[in-house]
Amino acid sequence: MFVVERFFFILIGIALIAAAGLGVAIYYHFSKFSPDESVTTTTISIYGIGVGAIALFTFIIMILRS
Amino acid sequence: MTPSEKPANEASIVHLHWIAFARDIGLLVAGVFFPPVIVIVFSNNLITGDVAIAIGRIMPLLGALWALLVWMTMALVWTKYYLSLWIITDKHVVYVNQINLFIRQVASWDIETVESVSVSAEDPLAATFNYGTVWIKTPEAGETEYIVATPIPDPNNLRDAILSHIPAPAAAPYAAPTTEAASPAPSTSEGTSETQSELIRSISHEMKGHLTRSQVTFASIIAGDFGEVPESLKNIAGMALADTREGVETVMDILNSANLKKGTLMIERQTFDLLGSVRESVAKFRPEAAKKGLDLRFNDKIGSCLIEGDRAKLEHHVLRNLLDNSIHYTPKGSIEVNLTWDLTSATLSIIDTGVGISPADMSHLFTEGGKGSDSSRVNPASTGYGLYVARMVVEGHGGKIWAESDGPGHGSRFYVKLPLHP
Repeated sequence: MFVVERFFFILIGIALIAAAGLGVAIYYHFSKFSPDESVTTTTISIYGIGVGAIALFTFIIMILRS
Repeated sequence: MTPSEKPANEASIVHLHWIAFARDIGLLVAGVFFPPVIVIVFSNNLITGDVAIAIGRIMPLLGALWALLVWMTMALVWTKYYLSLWIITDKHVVYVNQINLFIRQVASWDIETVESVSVSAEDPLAATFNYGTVWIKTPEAGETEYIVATPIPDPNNLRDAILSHIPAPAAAPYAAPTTEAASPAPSTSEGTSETQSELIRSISHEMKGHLTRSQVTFASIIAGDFGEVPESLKNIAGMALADTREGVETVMDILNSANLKKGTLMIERQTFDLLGSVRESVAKFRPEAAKKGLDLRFNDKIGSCLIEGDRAKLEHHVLRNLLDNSIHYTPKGSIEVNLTWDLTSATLSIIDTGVGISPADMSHLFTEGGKGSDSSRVNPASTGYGLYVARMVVEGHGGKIWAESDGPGHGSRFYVKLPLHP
């Protein structure tokens, strides 16, 4: 695996942790301030699916390259 | 229970129009997606060999990183869009502005202070997707500023929702005196006075409902909400609007005095420059003074006079009242405005060459409904509540207001002393 690739995997790992943190922050905001409860679940689900898909994609590439 | 003691209810919640979200996402797509696309297109043609292979290997990772950042930004844009909203109750208009994930601004206005609500649609898309801007006028917003709600879906609905909560004739406020009458009759003069105050307050509420609706109608005619109108009609509507505004202000003075007596008028403290406020207020009254041929002078200074207080209330109830009075009660001559300050306090003086104040009038000048003997002749629109409200606002700031005069025909001197920001 290239050094550059390793660097990118680390970068994406950090970004995924940040994305998870953002997800928690957004969940907190919606559960506290949203006037419609169902929006909280929908928003977090869609956001989580997106982040999960990108994480899975990165994980598969990492397996293939190692 | 009086109307002002009822809990707020009948809330309607209005989100921003989806175009606000679409616009931000559009900008995001344009700004974030185009650069990598351009890089990919050009790199395919210009870069070959080992470098091209290396780029080909990291491109999916770069894409994943890019997609993650875009996804996170989209989530932030959605949060900002969805959590920014307007809440209309029968007592308040509340604006919640989610500036970003960590900054949330919540502002609210008493619905009774709303003077007018108008609607505008600024671009061709607005008519297609049914969104627009709602302009809300309150005394706190100043003479020419509005509270703006944009982009709002079906803005006429928001306008109607606000207007429907402005006290209407024969609505709840009018019921108050009936309730009082049903209770045992007050046996003391204090009880009678309280009933009279309540009656005045109820009538004022009713009058404000009438006037506010007229004001909205005249403003809508001028804004062209009912289609193109002849210039002559616009002028008449303009005059009617100015008259109605004056009426609303008069009624607001009476209502404010009632609120002050009940202790329900809020003083919102913030640090601001009193010198700037005086400067702006004098500038606003210059045209009116010039129309009467009066020389309105302000001995301006360099620097700032920082005080802690409610800027809107001091400007509206104190500066406006004092300047308005000095112009009304000065048939000819001049009005001189001064602001001086030391380490602890600021003193505003307004000195005119007007009709002056007799010793008998001086004693009840700042009392509720207290008018001078010349009031009816010189200023028929005077309610006698303006200086009372001014006194209550100044005292609410820990200050003092007083007047001096050498007698009828010798002009008046009004002074306001306020503590400086510590």
